Amino acid sequence: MLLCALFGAAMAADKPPELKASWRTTTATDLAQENAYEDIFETLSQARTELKWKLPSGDRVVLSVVGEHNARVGEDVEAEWLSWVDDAYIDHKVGQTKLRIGNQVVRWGKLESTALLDVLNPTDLRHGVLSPIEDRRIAIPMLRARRDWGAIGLDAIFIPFFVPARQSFLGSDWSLFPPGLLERTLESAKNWESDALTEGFNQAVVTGLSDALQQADSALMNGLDRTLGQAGTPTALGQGSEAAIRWQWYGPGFDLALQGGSVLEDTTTIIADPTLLQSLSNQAFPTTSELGGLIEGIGDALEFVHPRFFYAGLDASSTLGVFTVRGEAAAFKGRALLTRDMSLSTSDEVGAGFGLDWLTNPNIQATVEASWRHLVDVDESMLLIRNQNEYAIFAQVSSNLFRNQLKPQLIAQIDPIRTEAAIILDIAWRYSDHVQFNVGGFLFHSPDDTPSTTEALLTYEGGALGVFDQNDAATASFTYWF
Amino acid sequence: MRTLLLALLICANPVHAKDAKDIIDEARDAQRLSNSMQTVKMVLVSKSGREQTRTLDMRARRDGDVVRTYARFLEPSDVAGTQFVLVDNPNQVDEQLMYLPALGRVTRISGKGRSGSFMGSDFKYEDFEIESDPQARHALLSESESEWKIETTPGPSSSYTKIRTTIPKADKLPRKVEYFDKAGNLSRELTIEKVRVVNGIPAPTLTVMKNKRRGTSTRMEVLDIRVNVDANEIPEEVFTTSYMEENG
Repeated sequence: MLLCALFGAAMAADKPPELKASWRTTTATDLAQENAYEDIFETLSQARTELKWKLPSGDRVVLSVVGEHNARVGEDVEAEWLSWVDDAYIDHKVGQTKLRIGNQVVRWGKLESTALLDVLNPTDLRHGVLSPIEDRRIAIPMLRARRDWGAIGLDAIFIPFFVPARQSFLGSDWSLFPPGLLERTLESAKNWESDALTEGFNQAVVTGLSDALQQADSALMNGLDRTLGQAGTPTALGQGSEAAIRWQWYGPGFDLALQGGSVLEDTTTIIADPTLLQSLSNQAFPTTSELGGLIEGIGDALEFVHPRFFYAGLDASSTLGVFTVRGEAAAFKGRALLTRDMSLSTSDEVGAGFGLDWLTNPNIQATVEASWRHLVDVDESMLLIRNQNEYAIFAQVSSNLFRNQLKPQLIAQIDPIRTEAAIILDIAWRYSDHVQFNVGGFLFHSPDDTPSTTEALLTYEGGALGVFDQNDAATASFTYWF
Repeated sequence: MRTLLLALLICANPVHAKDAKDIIDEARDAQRLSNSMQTVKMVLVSKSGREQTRTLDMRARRDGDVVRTYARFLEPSDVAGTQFVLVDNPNQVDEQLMYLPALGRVTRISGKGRSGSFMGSDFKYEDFEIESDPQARHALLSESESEWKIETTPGPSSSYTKIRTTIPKADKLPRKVEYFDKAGNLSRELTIEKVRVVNGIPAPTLTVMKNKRRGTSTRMEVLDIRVNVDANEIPEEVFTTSYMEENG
């Protein structure tokens, strides 16, 4: 419906539309293969087309479509085609109020890689660092209204339908559950203790599931993965709606903004039934009496939730000598937490971060960001996955050589508490106005091993970077701009 | 960096000797722009002859001493939508803003100490500086029936030791500027190869900057130009973060 309206509006345009199109294929090769189930070769190809029309009425229409192919070669070959509408909106003015209606990205806050206030658009986490950070925000349906009074601006956002983050749960090296974890768990479960009455049944179920997993083709696994990704999405009208507002003052030499809103957690929190969790921890099947309760509540064995939270924050930026200085501070009410017994808890949270850019020399650019987040009134011992205090450091240095034809770039993402890091090297060679080649690689470091079994996952002390500890790879990519 | 038109005048800007200053003042007055809109094609030519093309849409608005410049990349595709705003206010620190479509937000850039090549071209940011160098010394090298030649010795902050500018008497638009490096060698040479008179003002429509040391060059071609346009056509809103975000 929206697309038809946008096309209809575009037909009224008096000037030809601006057209941008590109094709990019990136390959990652991980020859180390520390894990028998991980992929040794992955390709991610994306075709992007974007059209922008300025209508005689002054309205503006933007339509962007993405097609993606992802292939993973490891123990077996898995591949998937996907396409989606990215930005698709119309800009319309009512009096002095500017409206933007449709699929869009709203980027608030001043931090890029350690952002606290960038909470409106969900992110695409399916391909980890294989996908550039700027491609990870997902455009979602929004109504945006903006009014400016000179240097003061007021922005209001209404998101009618909740869209969760795109996460991979199974099957990829970037999945929430590391490769082989499910297979190993099922294999291990063949030897779990059972009581005499249910032993045969349990073994049959486990063997059946294990065989089904072995035989499941790529399409089935992709479908299952997407289904899990949508699980827990609120569907009732209003239940998944979100709203936010932002006041901005654009002063001489600085800018300052205050904002707040009511939004849902984009990433999925998975809550496990206590009986199921006990079985996984003890490596034993439920007893006959427990099994009844588990079967009765089979729908709740794993629950996928996106709890609502409220936030308020401020961001500012200015220049200091040759540096650009950026900062954010935020307070959250009701952030979702996963406890050690895999149940849901919530906590208030505060956080702050800053960024420093040295962009004055066109041949060398450097950026540093750091942020801190603190959960208020939470007992650290009850937390799974995260700590009460979280710190993140991001650093990036790049250079433009030979008249911008060669651009080396080094990125470091550091978790100083867990001594985890991700280092990304990329060297871009601009062959012509249309063609670019990139080579590089990424390296993860963590003192904790990537959890390879469910038991290890449930007691995992590492952080998000450590989960990908086995994903070191060399990368190469080709980009064509039409 | 005001407009490219103004920028070309700037090459001969740091001239303070009485005669030379009169010449420059006359040239500036004759070509003083209020508001302008232009589409510019910048072609970067490598030593081997390979070309990279960038097309920009530029607008400039003058309100008293405050000059605001807006630039938006139209080509190539990967940088299309990238925008810059510069607010040059003699009473305040210059404001520089950049919008990258990939990031989806406006970044403030410190203008202090900005140096080096302009967008990978053979132009340097200092070539676009408007303010005169108070420490520069100038001399009228020669005067013929048709032109003046002025030699400028810039202050220590410049990367040049000497700049020679040729200004024709007819329209006072500099046609050739030679830049000499610290060793005293001719490092770069700017020539205006085509001029079009727009609303009675001579405007350079094809400018070439040659890097004599590297053997590279940059052609700046004005595809479309309007000068002294009504201020309503370039509202102040164009130079705001809101406008940049809306047109990213």
